Amino acid sequence: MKAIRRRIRLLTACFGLMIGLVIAYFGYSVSFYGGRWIASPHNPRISRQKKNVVMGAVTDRDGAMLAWTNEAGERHYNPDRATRMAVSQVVGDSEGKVSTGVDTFHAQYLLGFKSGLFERLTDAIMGNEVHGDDLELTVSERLSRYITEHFPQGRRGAAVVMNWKSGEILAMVSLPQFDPENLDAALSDDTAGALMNRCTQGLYPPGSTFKIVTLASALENLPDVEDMTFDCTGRYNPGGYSVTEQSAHGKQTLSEAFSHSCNTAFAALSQRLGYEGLGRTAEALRFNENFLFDDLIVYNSSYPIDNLSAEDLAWSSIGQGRVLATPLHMALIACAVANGGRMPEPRLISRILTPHGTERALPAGKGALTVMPASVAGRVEAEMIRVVERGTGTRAAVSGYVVAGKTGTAEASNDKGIAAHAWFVGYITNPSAPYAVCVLVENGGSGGSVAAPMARRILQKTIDLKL
Amino acid sequence: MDGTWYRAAGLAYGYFASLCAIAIALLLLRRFRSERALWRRIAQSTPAVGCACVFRVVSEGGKRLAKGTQLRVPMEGTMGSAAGCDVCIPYRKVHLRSAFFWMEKDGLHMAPLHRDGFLVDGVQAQPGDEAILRDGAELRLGDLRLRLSMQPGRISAADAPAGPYVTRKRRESAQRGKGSGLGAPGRANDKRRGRKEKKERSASQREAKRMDAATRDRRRILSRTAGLETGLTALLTAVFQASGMVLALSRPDAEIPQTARMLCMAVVAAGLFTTALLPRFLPIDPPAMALTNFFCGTGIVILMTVSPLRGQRQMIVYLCGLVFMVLMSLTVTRLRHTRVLSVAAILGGTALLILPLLYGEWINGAKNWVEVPVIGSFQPSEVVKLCLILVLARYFSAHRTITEMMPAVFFAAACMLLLMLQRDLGTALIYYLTTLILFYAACGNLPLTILGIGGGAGAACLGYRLFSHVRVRVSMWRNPWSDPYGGGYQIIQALLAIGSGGLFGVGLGQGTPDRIPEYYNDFIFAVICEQLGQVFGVLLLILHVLLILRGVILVSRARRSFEMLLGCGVLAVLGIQTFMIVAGVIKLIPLTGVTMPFLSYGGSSLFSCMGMIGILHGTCFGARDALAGDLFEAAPRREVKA
Repeated sequence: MKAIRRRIRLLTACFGLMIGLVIAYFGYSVSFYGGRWIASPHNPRISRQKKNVVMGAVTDRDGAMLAWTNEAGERHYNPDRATRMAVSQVVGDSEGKVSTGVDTFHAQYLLGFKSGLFERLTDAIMGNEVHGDDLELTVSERLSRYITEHFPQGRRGAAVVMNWKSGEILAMVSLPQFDPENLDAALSDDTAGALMNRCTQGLYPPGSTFKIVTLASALENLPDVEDMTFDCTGRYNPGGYSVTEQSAHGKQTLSEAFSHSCNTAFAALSQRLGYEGLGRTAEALRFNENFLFDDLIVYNSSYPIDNLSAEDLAWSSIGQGRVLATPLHMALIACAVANGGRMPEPRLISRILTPHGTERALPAGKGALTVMPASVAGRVEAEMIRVVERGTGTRAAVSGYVVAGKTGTAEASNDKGIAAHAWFVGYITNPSAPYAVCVLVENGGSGGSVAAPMARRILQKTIDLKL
Repeated sequence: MDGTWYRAAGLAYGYFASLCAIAIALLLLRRFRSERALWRRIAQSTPAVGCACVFRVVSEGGKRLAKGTQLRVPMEGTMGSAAGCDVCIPYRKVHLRSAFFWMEKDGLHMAPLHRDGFLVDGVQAQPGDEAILRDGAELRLGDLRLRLSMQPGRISAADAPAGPYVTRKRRESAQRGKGSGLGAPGRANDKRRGRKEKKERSASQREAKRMDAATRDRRRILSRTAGLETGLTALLTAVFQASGMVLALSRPDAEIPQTARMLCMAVVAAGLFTTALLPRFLPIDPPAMALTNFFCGTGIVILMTVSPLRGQRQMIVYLCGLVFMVLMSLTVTRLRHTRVLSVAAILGGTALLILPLLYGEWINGAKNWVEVPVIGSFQPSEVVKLCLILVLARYFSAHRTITEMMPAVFFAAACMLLLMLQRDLGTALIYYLTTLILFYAACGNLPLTILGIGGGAGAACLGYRLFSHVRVRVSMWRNPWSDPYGGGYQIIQALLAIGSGGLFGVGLGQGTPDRIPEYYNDFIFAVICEQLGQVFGVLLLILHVLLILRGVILVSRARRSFEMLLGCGVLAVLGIQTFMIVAGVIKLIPLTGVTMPFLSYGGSSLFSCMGMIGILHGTCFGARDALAGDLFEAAPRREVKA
């Protein structure tokens, strides 16, 4: 009897633990995914709520109206066509076709799902028309329009501008764009992919911009790396297939190899690091991580960590092969380098205004995460400054400011006839102008000649606008 | 009611629900604490409580066991030198587990557990024997001599044959069902009773009646001591139910059947009556009853709001279920012939499970329903749960060997096989886990339990290979978003509902519950979370834990292993079922199509849940009755001393 009693108590404790697990998982999934569930395009409640609630307005950081709902309950976007197209993927559309747009993803605020007891009760009792919250975004409509206008003509691509101190997204432009006031046209042309936000949903091979990660890994894991020299013969053959370079760079130090963006040197370096060493750094820099930012949906970047062959590892180290990243993630890596190894959480919402004129508290977020040691970040920054001073990225230099950066030319196809993606990732080191930028031009060609000048224009304009 | 007011009231109701749940949880916790203190006090003041008789040490046994030491013997248990024994004899020459004993009306029955056995008044008893000891009998364990002394009221003179004796073949007599109720109180042997004995009997009956009155007094004292909290809980539940029903009935666009209004009043009244008044006359435990009523009330309010016709049916089933609960409770407290009942349960249970295979139709890939005239559709596997618990408890109780447990294991295996044939895998899993839990609780045989878990895991893998719908369920659990309008539709809609509800819900009667398939049944937890809020959902889980906790308190008071295992079986079924469905709905484990106890719509399910709660009430009540008796016996002696 005593024994049975003891065993029953043990079983009860097990049961209590299981229910505890259920409650913990319930709390976890509701707090991390609850907002995403509401914003899901499969949620029939959104369209229902739209009939009962006057959806809130969306403004940019300077107060320019980006989206609002009129008395008749119709959703309207900025009257200027160029403006509303420049922010089309950020703001989204009235039918929820852009699932990552603010109009859909933040429907919980815009449609008043987040209102408290008192607000809901007074509205319900007074019989008021229920208004959702208004959102003020961190993006600048002027900067977005400028980027759209100056993007290489006819090219697809993406550009992200961030404040590397605060993580605020100042502009997030994806091309091609669509007109939210004329959605049918965008829907009928499904080849363009205009409804996709390439900054957050576009997964591209990062090419040489990934060498920032490889460099950080080398500086962290190999103590003697700065004394090493690499002999570039234009070809490196780790096994079977060889990594090639257009011209031989000859004997060079790591620093020179980085500013020349020498593939063979980094492929050789990767063999020293091993797939574990490089994989650890990549995952510390949040590759393969399921991003759960409060303000926006960002697709997972991927870095292969299954047992790599020597060849696979060599290709991964220069951002080819199976490595994929979103432009926003590359911009975040630049922010982390600029911040001394602390990666800020990207913010898209600067203020939430309730219909009663008060301000609602923003979700706290996870804040900045330390992704690399400050000493390593400092040395990577020095190398990135050298790239812009006398390496491949000289065209990104902004007069009066010190720019750090890295170019990339990522081959997206084995077919040599198709041009590579042009990348530039960089930032202004001066704390008075803490701007980070990432430019991607699909099939644009060389990163140094296409993406770097674009980045310079963007940075210059951002400084001029004093954002 | 005006639409605006309806919305405002619905919203307020969401908050009110959470407040009610918090208040009920706190009240009940307080009651548990005060009650625990009360039982401690009783145990300290009257050591005879729960004690069947006393062994006095006649010969000295080592340094730790002095001559004249008293060993208190409970109503059932093991005797030996191991610390885990109910009668622990701290003398190393006694075997770790030397005997199993149980109290019956004709004396203290003892069966050896070790091959050395023991001697009763010089007669050797060996494994397979059963000794009956009465007042003054001498027990010899090795070289240790003990003398039994029994309180006069413990055994009735009419039932007692003369002299202590040893009966042969415990197993045989157990199978004949005579004398050794194995866990249940024994039966009087009517045949041998003469006229003179009859006279004595009537005298003892009068005496018993007087004792009964005292027992009832004790019972009142016991039930009244911490009645405030439960009364408040009942009142709160009634207010919660009533306000929810007023809201549901005044829904602007709903078509409410006329009888529903009457039924609503009846349900609220029944809730109050069963918690506050019924425990005075019938074996009902008030806190467990209050929790049951709260769960059922929540389910009914939600169903009345989202689907009034179903709500109406649920109310009828609830009211019938209350009657069934009382019947089950009475049956368990007055249970004498466990053998007859368990054989009937085995036969009846098997027959019931075969029914759907013969007359059922395939619905949603399973064939577990039968159409019955008058009642409508009926799911036998729900009611058979009661049979399973009964059979398991009977064959696992009273310190049986593994072979003696086999009938129950075979019955459980047969049930699972039949359920597999019906493709009702969720219920089969419940049966399997219940069997395993009861097996472990009864004999504590860890290697065999682990083997059972391994076998279950193997069967699960086999099921995964064999049944395509299991594979679909698992893949939809891993990533429902891959097929949001096909296989993943149900779970995604449930998650969206939970997410959209927010912390305190969109309000009763608001939201779009009908987008979730089976919203009234398996997915009622999602509907509750949407309308009354995630906080309320969590509180509901906490209240379920409280119900289990209450169950454990009741079960650990039981004095017979049969009662204990019966209660444990009920708790296992309720606990497993709650865990499986809630964890399934929130995508913690793959979805299994089982109902949420008390809350889900479904006549068979609610009915069997009420039956199980009835069993729980019954198991505890025997103990409380006995406690009252002990208190009565203890009281006069203290007066004499003074």
